[in-house]
Amino acid sequence: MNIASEKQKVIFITFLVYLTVTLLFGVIAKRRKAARGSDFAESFFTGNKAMGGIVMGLMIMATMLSSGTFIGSVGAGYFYGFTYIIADASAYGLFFILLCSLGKRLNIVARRINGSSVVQLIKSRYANNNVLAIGVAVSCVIFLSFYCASQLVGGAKMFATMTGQNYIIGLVLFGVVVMIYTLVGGISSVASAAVFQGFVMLVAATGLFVSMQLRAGEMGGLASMYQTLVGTENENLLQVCGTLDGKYMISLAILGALCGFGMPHAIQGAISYKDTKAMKTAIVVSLAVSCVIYIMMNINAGVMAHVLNPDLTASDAAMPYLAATVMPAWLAGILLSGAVAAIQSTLAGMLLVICSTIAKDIYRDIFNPGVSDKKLQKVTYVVIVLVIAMVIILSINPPDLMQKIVYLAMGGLGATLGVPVFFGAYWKRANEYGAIAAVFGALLTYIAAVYILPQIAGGMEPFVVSVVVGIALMIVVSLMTKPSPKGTIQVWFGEKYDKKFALRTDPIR
Amino acid sequence: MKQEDLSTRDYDLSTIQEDRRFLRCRRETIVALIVAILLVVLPEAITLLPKWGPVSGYRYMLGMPMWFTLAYATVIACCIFALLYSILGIREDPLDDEEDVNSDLPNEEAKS
Repeated sequence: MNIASEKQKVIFITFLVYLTVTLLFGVIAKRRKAARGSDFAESFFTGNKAMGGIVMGLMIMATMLSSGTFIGSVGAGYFYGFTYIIADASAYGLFFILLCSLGKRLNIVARRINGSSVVQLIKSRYANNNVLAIGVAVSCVIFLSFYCASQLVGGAKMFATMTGQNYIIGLVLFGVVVMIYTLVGGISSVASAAVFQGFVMLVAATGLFVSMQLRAGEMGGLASMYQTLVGTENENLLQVCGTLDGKYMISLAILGALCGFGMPHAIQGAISYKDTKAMKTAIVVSLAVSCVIYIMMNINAGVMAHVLNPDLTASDAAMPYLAATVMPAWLAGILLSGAVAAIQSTLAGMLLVICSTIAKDIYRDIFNPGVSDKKLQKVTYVVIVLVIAMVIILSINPPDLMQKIVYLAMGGLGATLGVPVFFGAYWKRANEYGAIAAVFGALLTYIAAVYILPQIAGGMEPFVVSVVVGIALMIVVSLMTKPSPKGTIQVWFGEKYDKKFALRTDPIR
Repeated sequence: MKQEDLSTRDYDLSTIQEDRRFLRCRRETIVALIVAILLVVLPEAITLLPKWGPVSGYRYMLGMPMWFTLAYATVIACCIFALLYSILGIREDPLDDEEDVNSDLPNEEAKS
């Protein structure tokens, strides 16, 4: 089954226009950054904590909305039906849950310790323990790399289906575009492009939603359209737990609601806003716009795609074929651009976190504290290029359903980072021994549940059992050992604290 | 206070006076966790608890199976609550510490 070649040409041209505009944002951001002049690390990774609320909100939303939103969820909806859509819906509140609970909290402490990354925050909270820092950094890099690969896979699949171009060309094309505008401008470039990308995503989702409703109208309405599935082998798409059992459905909902605590790219964005007013605007903007986009993309698309294109061999092709079926070519091109925008912005945000983790948190802070700004810049650029190359290589042989990779990454991050971050912020008694046990315990449980002994997940998402293990280890080991150093608790909880102590980066025994 | 004293692990946690902003963050976190629980419990309860019967007997609301429309409505309601709380409930605390000549000293020395 193929999309008409004339339609593919129009889609491709619209897409190229979008790519050109995105690249321009990187160039403009670089010129503005050069004119301002500042410390490389602060400017590149956090924008000097000077971003307004709307920009921050659109940036967080753009980095959180991903190929999962535009391709993976629709593909999973195509495969699993309405039961999946409900289970996935808990993630709509993810921005609010994360920023409301951790946004202000971590931003205040980040200013006290002059920190600009999740690893630095965790190190500061847990006595600058290098074993923990390396464990957290390795988790970040591994699971974010999976996440990056899922983005490239989703985008390249969509690109190949809609434009008729080769999958590998799609992989390389927008992988390289992301690398360029990230290299050129850092987080400022990501932020500038995110405003434009957020707008494109909104237009794309609106266009698809309206087109779907018009097509449903031609078929006698949504209910009539869905009722064509009744009595067929696909009626389970409409049925309560027709394709997913209740236990798994609940575990998926828990993952969606809570995994945000372990998302380093979202947390890094949260510590970048300039004041609480900006944070509130960010929550409102990201919540409102992302909910609207989630609703427009997910509520009907997957099951409708099954009604209109029942014979797709790959569920991930559901969205491209749906768009090509119900939308005019130029609008389908904008939808492709919207999906790619979501992918590129998420990819860029995660890329910055991976590079920050490797270049700053591990190379500079642990192995080479005296490194110059210029050398750090070079190391960062080399890491960006190498990571993109590695992710492209990982994406060459894609899996069947890319949403599974998204859940793998989200679950891994949530289980390993979420517990030390959340407990560190709200439980004074948490210490580095509990955090080490939690991180490594959760990581090993997660790997075992995914690859070795799936039965330990009990038929649920592995995230659930891993978080339970992580929380149990955090509590038990922390209570069995001495509390964190007094100065640390003052920095993280106190009204008064010692500023020199706050800026310490050496391990505190 | 000496750096070695700040490195001590033999102290009473309750003597650390908590920043008022962090106390407010704690309250806001409770609201966030309540929203998280509602987002998991409500839609799944509507989906799993009632006996909706065979697919051929489903009623439809807004074009979609009724169980789905009702469950999805609870998600939207939670998001609207979260939006309203963000606008009206989250306090605009300053993120920088207030300037204080004693701000380098731990609480007990600042008081004396």
